[in-house]
Amino acid sequence: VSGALDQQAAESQRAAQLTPLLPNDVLSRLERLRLSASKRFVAKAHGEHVSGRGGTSVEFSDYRDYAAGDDMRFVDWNIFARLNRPYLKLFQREEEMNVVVLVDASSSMLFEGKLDRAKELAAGLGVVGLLGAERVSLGVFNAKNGAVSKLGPCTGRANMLKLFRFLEGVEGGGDAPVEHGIERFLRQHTGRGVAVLLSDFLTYGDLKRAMNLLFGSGLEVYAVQILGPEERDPTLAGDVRLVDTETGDTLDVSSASDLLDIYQEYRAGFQSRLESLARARGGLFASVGSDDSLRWILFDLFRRKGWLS
Amino acid sequence: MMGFHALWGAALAGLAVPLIVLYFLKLKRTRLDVPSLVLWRQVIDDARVNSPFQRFKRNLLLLLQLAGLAGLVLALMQPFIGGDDDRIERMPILVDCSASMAARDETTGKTRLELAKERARSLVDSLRPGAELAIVSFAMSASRMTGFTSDRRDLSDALERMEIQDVGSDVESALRMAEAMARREPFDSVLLLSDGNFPADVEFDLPFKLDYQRLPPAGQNAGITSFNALRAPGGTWNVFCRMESTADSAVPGTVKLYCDGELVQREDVALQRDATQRVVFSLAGDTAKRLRAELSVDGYDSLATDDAAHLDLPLARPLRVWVSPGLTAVRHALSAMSGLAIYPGDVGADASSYDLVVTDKRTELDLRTTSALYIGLVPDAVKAHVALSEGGSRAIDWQRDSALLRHMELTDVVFVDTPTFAPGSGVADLEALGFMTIVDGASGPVVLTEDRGAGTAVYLLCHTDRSTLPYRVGFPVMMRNLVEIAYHEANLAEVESLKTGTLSLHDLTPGVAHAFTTPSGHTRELKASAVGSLVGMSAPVVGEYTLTGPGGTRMVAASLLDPEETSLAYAQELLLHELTVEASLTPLRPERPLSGSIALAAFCVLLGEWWLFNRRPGVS
Repeated sequence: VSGALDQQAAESQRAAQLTPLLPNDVLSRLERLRLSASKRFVAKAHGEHVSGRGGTSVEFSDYRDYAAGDDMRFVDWNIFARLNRPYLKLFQREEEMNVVVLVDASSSMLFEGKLDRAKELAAGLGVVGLLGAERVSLGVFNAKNGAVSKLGPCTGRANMLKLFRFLEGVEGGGDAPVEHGIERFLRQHTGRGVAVLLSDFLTYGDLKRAMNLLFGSGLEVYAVQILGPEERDPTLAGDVRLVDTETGDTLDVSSASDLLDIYQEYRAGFQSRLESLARARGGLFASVGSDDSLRWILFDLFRRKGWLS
Repeated sequence: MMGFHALWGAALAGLAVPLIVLYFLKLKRTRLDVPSLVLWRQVIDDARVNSPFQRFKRNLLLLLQLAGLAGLVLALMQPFIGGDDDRIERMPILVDCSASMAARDETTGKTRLELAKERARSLVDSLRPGAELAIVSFAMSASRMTGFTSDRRDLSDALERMEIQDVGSDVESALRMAEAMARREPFDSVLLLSDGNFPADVEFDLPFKLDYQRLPPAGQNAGITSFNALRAPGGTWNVFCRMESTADSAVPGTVKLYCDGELVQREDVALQRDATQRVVFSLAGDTAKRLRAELSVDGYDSLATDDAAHLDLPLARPLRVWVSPGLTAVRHALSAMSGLAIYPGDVGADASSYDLVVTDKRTELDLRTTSALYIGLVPDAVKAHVALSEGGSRAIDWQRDSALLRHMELTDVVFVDTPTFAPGSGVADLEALGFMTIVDGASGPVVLTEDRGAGTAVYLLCHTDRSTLPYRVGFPVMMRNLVEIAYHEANLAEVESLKTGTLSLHDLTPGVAHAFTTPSGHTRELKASAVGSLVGMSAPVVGEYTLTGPGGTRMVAASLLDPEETSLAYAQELLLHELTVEASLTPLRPERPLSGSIALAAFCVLLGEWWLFNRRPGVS
């Protein structure tokens, strides 16, 4: 009887959730967070995102020398009267930023709840973007049918449910290289801002090109690598035949337990390479596990890294 | 040097081919789906993974299987590390079981025989397939314990059955036994395991190679080597006990004399090598006594069997002599001697048996006696070859070393009776009948002797009354010699302790079965001879033997009393005809079979492989 009651309570709680992707309490905490883009890859339209300098708001930011072609309306005449040199007043500008969340839904992401975690993070970051009055776009590549699906750009709380439903409907299973999906997404996307790339990056594709495509499109890359527990700390032993779920290729490994140290070295090296690729393009990198707590990732890891504030 | 008994087993190495094929066909790999092989391919391509050690580990199971197979194939090939006996196909092992082989080592406590058994057993244990051994034990005589066999159990049982015999050793008998075996089943070499305590000179033509393995000597030894008694005047016995030792320095000891189980005398002695000690005890001869001498020394004594000796001391009675009343000259000569009881006549009633009978009457031939002198009587058995006639004869030749004829001169003696050989007969015919001629006449024998086991019968074919012999000075001398012989044969003059080997008993009920019991309790039935004797009874061990018959039970004790055995001396070489065989102290290095060890190792390898194979594969 108690089991049945527990199950009933759980179902009723799920029914009260706005989306299975994010618990309500997480949603409420996300409402208070904003994305912190370190570069000014912003759209020209006004938004709620406060740019560092050169804005047109009423909030003073700085002075600079006047240059030919500057709008004469921003010359500080008081200074000019005093110093006999023209200085331009700069104001903080509240700009609208594009937040592009790209989810890799390839077959490899189906392991150990990586795609689910990617969808949850995409939902979380999307919510932060929507509630921050950013232009949020969602892109899912390498999905089951191989097509690239896109949502947005959209903004405002009104699109939150739309975003949730979009993500809930994502089914993984594709097997194309990462850069292909990104390239196809960017054909339909315009606008500068932040691109959050959620993937395991375990691809034979050219990751450098993928990063370049995003960077070239004016998007600051936030690369989030999601790995399963078995990928982060494999426990293989003996003679095994590894089967690549994306390609179907096999690889015979003998005395696998003796290779684990080498595997860990390569995994760490791979992560370093990803991080350097992201940093070289003004981006950031974080590696999370599919078994890591969602709350820890959103409210601890991302905040400590300065992605959310 | 290493070798193989079954090289054909190497052909099984071909099984490696199907093993390798099956390994790769049936390699048990758990399929494990992974998100991507990106990282794993890089790992596999890493140089460290492809290092020789990692390559080895990659196919560890296959290598273990191949190692196991190689081990099994090697075990099937029956490898061995060759020993000294690697070329021997058939070999008898002669094991010395004489008394000296009972000498115990001071440190290990093992007897020489146990050591010999160990060496023989190591050869048996390492017996190659097809090779055969035979076990022969020898002491005074050789005994074949087994024929040639490969059966290790039979050989081991034979070794177990071998026991010490408290007698000397006769290596020649063992070699002759081996020679006889070689006639039926040829072999090249013989192994002799002995402590070397035997005569070095052996009259034997060696037809095979002899490997003389001398066992290391035991510690020092002391023992009684002689125990006898001489009759002394006054009806007493002087008992002599001689002791010897192998100790380099004088070792104090004590010899105790027990009379019918009671300690009667003891003497302290100091024993040393090459310094024989003799102790004399004086005992009254009024009764028969059973004597036992025991020697104990301060220090180690490796041989126990020579530390005691037994002696049955008879009553020191007068010699009972029957002399036919008509033989006046003989009676006259004997009457001058003391210690004689002459029948019939001066000593009461006639005795049932005598120590000496001197008669010229055929009716008195049946008198029971030990020694006898028959005068003028031709034995019935000899009558076909010798006949008496009258005509006169002289002694032409005689055995001057004969006990009867010592200090005698027969040249001038004339006999009226003339013994003459029947035509075609001669000395050889008499010898064939058991008669020895000690005095020869011109045409036939004058004096014959017959060894009757218990004593000697002398036949003087010519009657003394018809000869000049009684008038010669030699006559009383001959009578004195005869009495001396009778004394000895009646054991009244000197008594010797019985030695192990063979025993002879007399004065038994003729033709009647007697039960002969050895010290170990084994009893067998023996039938006394027609003259009431049992001769040649085997007495291989020291101790008391019992003979039970209609006349009651007689106990006799046999002692070792062998200076050679007590000395524990050893012959460093055997001097054979035209050949000398050096002794070797180093035991034969037996062949070491490796099949068992290799098979065990292969089994362990396969067990390890099985464990690895069944270890939880894949994710652990």
